[in-house]
Amino acid sequence: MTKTKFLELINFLQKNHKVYGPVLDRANRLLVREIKKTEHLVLDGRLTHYSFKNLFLPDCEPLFDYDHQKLKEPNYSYEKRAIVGMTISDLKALELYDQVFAKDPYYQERKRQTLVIGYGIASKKSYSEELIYVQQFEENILEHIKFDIFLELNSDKTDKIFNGSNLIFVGSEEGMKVLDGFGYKNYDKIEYVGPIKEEGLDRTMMAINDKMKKSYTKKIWENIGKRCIECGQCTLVCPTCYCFRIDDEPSLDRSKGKRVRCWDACMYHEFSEISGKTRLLKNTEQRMWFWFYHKFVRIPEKYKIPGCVKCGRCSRVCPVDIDFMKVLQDVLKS
Amino acid sequence: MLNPYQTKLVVIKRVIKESSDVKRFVLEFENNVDKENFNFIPGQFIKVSIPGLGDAPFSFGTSPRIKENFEIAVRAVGNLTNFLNRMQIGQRLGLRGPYGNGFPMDIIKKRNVLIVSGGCGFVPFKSIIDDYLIDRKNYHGKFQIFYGARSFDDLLFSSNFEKWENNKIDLKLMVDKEDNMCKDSQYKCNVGLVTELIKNEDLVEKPVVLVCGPPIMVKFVILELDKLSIPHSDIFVSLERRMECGIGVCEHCAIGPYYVCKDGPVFAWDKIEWIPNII
Ligand SMILES: Cc1cc2nc3c(=O)[nH]c(=O)nc-3n(C[C@H](O)[C@H](O)[C@H](O)COP(=O)(O)OP(=O)(O)OC[C@H]3O[C@@H](n4cnc5c(N)ncnc54)[C@H](O)[C@@H]3O)c2cc1C
Ligand code: SF4
Ligand code: SF4
Repeated sequence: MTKTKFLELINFLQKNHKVYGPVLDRANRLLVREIKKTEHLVLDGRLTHYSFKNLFLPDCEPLFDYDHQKLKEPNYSYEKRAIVGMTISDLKALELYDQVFAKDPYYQERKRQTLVIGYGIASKKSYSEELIYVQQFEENILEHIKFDIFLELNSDKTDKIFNGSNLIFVGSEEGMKVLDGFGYKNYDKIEYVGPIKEEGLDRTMMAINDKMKKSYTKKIWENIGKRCIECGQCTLVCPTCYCFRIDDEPSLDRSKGKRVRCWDACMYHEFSEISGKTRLLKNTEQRMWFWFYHKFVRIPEKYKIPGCVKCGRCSRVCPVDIDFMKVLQDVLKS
Repeated sequence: MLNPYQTKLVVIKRVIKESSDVKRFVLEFENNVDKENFNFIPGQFIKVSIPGLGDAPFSFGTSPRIKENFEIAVRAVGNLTNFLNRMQIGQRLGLRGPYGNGFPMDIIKKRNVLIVSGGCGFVPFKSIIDDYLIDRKNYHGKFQIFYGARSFDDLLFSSNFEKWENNKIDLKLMVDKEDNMCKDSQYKCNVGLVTELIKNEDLVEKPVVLVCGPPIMVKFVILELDKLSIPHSDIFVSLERRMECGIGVCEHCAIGPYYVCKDGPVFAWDKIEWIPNII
């Protein structure tokens, strides 16, 4: 599929979907926004600054309108959307939300109304630092991620990534219906076979899991605990950070209001606070360990999929230059 | 799809003052179907919702065999609990749950049981004791209780103590400071920490030990039990953590690989003792 054709597909979708995808802001950061004009869409192989999680798990969403003791689900209708430009790592995170929020009616309804169009660059050539996370085009990877439509770009030139041979895959009925409606037949069907490859979970991930469970290497956690300033940026950009708080927001008439679910961050002091200002995660060192333990032990043990999709967004935003991949190396060596 | 955050309505049937800052509430479902479908295990908890203030976890304080209503006991420590403790008979509350695993009742029914508790941590044990009183034929061991609080007034459920003793429960009380109320009571006022009871009293033979109370108490109780070489797999601790969702998703109550709201709040000590800063 040529670039022109792909943008025509976006135009076609815009007729009855709100289309979201990566666009550049003034500071030259890639952000996920509604695409009003297709020429704004940027698919150049770079990861978006924030992940796509906000579109699936909004940073604050009303769970209920309350009136005295009664809780009523807000009756807004979920918009029909198409989300374009999710990379393989973003799609892996989506698989995790599917499992974590399997019984969450808000997430499920939102997801049901969403057409997911992923993309990736399959190239033999190694790209610059910034692009390396997007690639991960491991063999048969498409069978292990869920999407409706996937655009595979085959190009060796970062500035002309649409110029190679581009392939289109469909991963769902819905994706197929859309392409049929659009009048494009030249696609391949991919059968989703589950998130895990035959050889099991990623070996490095398993090794980290094992190390984290076997020992608490104080030196590592103390060291990053001293450096981290608890700004929470890493949790904000990380696609696999999904923890939340539930808060009530009363209106002027205090018997009415909203019960909302908002993102939280385990890097914040209040995260583990119970009455009497007791904090069960007492310091930065403990909170750091908690963060890693979630990604590398709790998630893989509970959901049997990796808790880190190796997008590298965390290291990229950290103001004190904590290199999370380096921390993992240290854990492996410990 | 069922909404896991939706609440069911209960009516406050009675309010009983248990101490200067704790009240006991008798709650009954408004809807009969809710009432019939409601089951729980001692040690599980519910989340009580007060729109405007959020929801908070509380343990059951009565036997699951009583179907008509159930009780919670609430210490006023913050926003929601202070509001709750000002509520009156006839007012309604929303709740969701029950959540958590509860105590290992099959083990408890077979063995000698030692309960060690401090302050509000005693509430879930009241559920076990009530159940024992109703269903004694199915409990095959002895019951021993070491219960401590700041003062005699702070000991919850004191109106039940006599009944417990009449039913062969070995009850030992401990207060931080001796006061007149304690002196005037029919009970021996041991003064000090609840751990001293473990040191000074004869324990029931080969007990399964159930512990719930402030973290610092739990820590010293375990040190004391260690001196008696009680296996850690025979010690069950009920933990308190911050909880938002109650269903193992929000991450607030996570400890190592577990979720206190789902895998707990009751854990065999050998399963969790290795977790850094667990208590
Ligand atoms: C499994 C379990 C069983 C409990 N059983 C009882 C009981 O039987 N009787 C009793 O009096 N107390 C019990 N508690 C403690 C009780 O839940 C807290 O005292 C209560 O949540 C405090 O709420 P607050 O709004 O009054 O306090 P504030 O200090 O005003 O607010 C505390 C904030 O933290 C949140 N929070 C979430 N979880 C907790 C928590 N565990 N402790 C404190 N704050 C929390 C609250 O919702 C609130 O947003 C139990 C706690 C747990 C985890
Ligand atoms: S690389 Fe960092 S930001 Fe990306 S998934 Fe892993 S922990 Fe999260
Ligand atoms: S981005 Fe860096 S400094 Fe900020 S909370 Fe994360 S690790 Fe700490």
